[in-house]
Amino acid sequence: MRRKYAIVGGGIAGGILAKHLLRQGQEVTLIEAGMTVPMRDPAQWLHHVTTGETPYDGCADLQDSVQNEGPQDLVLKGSRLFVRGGSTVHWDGCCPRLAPEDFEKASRCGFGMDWPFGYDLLEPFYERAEHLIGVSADYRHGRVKRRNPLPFPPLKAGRIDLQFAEACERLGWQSERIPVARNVQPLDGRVPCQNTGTCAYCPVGGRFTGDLLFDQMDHERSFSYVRGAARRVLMNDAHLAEGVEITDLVTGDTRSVFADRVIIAAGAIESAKLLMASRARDWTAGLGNHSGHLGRHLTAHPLLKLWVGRDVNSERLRPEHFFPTWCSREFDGPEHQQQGKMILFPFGGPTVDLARMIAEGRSPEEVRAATQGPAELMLAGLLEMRESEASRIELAPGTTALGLPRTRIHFEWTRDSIAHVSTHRVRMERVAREMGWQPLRFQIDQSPVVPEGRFAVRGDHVTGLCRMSTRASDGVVDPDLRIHGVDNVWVCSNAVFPSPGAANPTLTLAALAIRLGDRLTS
Amino acid sequence: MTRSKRITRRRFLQLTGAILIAGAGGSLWSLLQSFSKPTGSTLLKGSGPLSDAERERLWELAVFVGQTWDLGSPAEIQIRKATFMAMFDAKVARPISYVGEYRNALSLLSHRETVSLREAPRSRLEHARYYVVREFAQLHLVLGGHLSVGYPTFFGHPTGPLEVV
Repeated sequence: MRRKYAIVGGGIAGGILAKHLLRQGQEVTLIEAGMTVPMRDPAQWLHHVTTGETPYDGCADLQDSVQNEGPQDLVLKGSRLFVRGGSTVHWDGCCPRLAPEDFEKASRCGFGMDWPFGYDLLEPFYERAEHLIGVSADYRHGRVKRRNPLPFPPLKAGRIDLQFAEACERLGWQSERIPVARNVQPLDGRVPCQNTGTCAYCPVGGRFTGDLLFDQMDHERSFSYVRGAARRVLMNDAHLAEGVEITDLVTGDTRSVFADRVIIAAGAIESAKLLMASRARDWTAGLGNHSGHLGRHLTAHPLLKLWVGRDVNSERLRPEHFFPTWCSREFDGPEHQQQGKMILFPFGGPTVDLARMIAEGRSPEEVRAATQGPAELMLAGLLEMRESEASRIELAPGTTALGLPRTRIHFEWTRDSIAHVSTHRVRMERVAREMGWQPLRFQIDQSPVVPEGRFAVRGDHVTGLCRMSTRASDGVVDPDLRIHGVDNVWVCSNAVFPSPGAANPTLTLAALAIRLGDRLTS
Repeated sequence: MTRSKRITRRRFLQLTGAILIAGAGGSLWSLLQSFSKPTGSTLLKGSGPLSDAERERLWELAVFVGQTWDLGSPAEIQIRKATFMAMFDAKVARPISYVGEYRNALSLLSHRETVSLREAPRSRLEHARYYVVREFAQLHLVLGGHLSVGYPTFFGHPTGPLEVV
């Protein structure tokens, strides 16, 4: 059966596009390699809150799916999910916008790439994305200006977050509420966030997850959902695709899904790999890769972690939510762009396991005393990485358990950027002391900081592998996300970001997906 | 509240056949420690749903945990019964079924031995503590017990600090 559209990838971008196209009367086949797991299921929730397990635990990368060969390791396990709904199934829902200067990196810094368009062009799509996702925050005091209110007022901030905000104020630092994907009022049939603190598996859908987009689509006649691993884009000639070859993960067969238009929305790494695997007579280095930029400019968001502690915690302060509610974008301004911006926020989970203490037989007095005893907290800094052409991915021999090609990663973080980490560390220690907590230890993701040594960064928020450019010689896709030189294949993933900024990328991706949907049907 | 606790403990002991040794170390856990023998590594076999009597005995254990560690007033704890019952049924229905864990825990209530809790439970008593008592405490905490211990929200992920960004 031939459809108008084939979409590869059932994450937030694929879901938004499929929903939009179906509303416009188009026929869509969506191909997703990951499983569909039960969400908002009361029994699963009961199991989650008592064990910590979720139905998507088995949907992460396996260790052998990646082969690291660069100066630093990029760890994909835990950073992304192969599941219907994509990585938003496990995200914390932070939805900041990129700042206007993030779109002008090269012009301002002399390195990297400018986006082909500016913040103002994307602003209305940001707004639509915030309404679709259901974002709550205090819109009046954000560093990035907006024209209209957010759909929802802010959730109640945690006490740690307020302590952080007060410390920032005393230091003269900017701080604001982080926009989060929680509906504080009913939205699309979902009840509001109940603030249970069990967001990793929300029982009511109070946190937006990408699978929600599919709930109404499954019953539409114009929609087909295929559990399959995309092997390559099938090309008719140099400029026209005719569909996608897949491994059907239900039958095990290799077959073709034919479509007039193909949209690749399979996450940054898998989208780039699919183009690499789609070699053809006219595209010997991979589809869309005449420029040589496909698979390059790999960046992620290293997470700087400063663990802080106090001996006495009489107020029982601790992170109160699954997600941060407050951040400082003091170091996310234009003046910090040259060295790498950072968004700073209190984070981390509880360090006192009350249930375990009870199971161990501690007395009620001991359990209560523990809540006011020594405590630890993590301050986190989401760091903008400087782009490097040498930082890249390639196809590695063999396939993963899902039938997708394995990934070879050459992850390279420039020495300048690494050196600047120590500057951020000093800033983080300063706000920690202002909050009344003592710095204990500092890490980049899971690794202790050893400036000359090898360390590992978790692959959260990978961008840059199919970057967007006005000129075909500078990137892989054009400003409308269509592959340069191909008439009917688009890429909609974080991979198209020409530069990452310090903000979480998902809201920007959702805005790009809405914009692409409009362009396709206009 | 104290009076209710005493009644609950007595009722608990009647149900389980345990013998309370008065003043044994002064620890309330001495009661649960008295469950412990035998502690072989093989769980009791079990299949099918729990009987109504078994579910009620598990609920009594849940009440005991909640009241002993002050995870809510007696009235608040009673309100949680339907949720606990739903959890018993869900845990037994899903693979891997908890029916063996639950029957194991109930059977141990009339034995005594002291065993410390380890990461990977190896004995039947450790199983009872890890998969039953700990989980019952966790569910009490999420259903409102966190307020009783002074936390405004639950956010008590049992597997430690979260790494999701």
